[in-house]
Amino acid sequence: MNDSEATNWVTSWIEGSTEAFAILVEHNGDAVYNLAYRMCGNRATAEDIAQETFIRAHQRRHQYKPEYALRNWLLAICANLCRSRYRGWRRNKDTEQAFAEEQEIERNIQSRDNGMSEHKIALEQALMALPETLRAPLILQYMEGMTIQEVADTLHLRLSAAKMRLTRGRDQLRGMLQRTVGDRGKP
Amino acid sequence: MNENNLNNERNDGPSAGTPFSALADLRVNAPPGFTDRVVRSLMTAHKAPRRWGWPTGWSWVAPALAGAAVAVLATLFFTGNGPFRGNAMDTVVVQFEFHAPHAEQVELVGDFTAWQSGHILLVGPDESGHWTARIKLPAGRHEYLFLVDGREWVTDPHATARRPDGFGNLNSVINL
Repeated sequence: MNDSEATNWVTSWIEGSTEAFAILVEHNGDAVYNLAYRMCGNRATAEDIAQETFIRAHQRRHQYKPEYALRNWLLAICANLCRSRYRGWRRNKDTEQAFAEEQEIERNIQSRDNGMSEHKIALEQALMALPETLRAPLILQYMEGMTIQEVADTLHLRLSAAKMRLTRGRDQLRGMLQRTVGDRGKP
Repeated sequence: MNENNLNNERNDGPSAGTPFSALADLRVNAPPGFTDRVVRSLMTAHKAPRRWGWPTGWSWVAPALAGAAVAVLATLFFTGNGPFRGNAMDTVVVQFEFHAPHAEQVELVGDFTAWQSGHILLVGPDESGHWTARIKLPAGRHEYLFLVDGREWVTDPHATARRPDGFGNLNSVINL
């Protein structure tokens, strides 16, 4: 789809076309689902959040500003929904614990199913062990290829805060990976 | 992945061949049929099914009791008796004003309309280009926006407070 076609689809979608909405989901579904999955670590919950993201976007489509990349706008909605859910889970410690365990089991199954290398499994485990506030910026920058400014806009952060979170996220990830490498080197 | 590589990441963004660039390989795709399911759920949300007809079995009991309770509470409220005496249900009459001399229609949309348009139309414009609406709202904190000509969402420039809506815009806030 070229830029002009994309603009036409977005215009049709804002006017209420369901066909255009379907194309929008098709083109952005992976990015939204990936963010939701990497933030919650559970496939069913991720699909639920991703679905809600598109429904909310559709309900608020008149608020979309074309100068803002549509995918980034959708990811902003998704990140916001993930934060709300996360706050909900944190209110209930038992649920949080059960959810964390469920996440870990699912991740292990998924990693084995995908035949991932040990390195990638270690990287994934380190990423998912990061606090939510540091994980989201890394996902947006490294998985979605966003600039730091886009990360800041999407997460409603100041540029300096986005930079700081990216640096801290990388530092913590690096530390965890070094420990993993170190552990493997031990006799 | 060795320790040296782990220290090579630049601070200003992703770069190929570094351990963090491998994060891109961890990207997961939406499951098959995702688009269809989202579109179906949208259609369901649009056509909220309503089942008409008399309820069967005992399913009428709870709604009937709820209805009776509402009737009793409404009676107590409107007769000024019971716990509502002198309270007037804590509703406040508020006048909203918005300056848009060239607009053809201005709506007030907020949490009190469940963010649905088409409920509260402002009257205007008057000679000075102002649109107004006078409505009753429950006491408390409310977020709202003006919807101009059905497409432009505008934060009230006279709102006492504003709050990010999580979608890159600001909602107007009123405390009653």
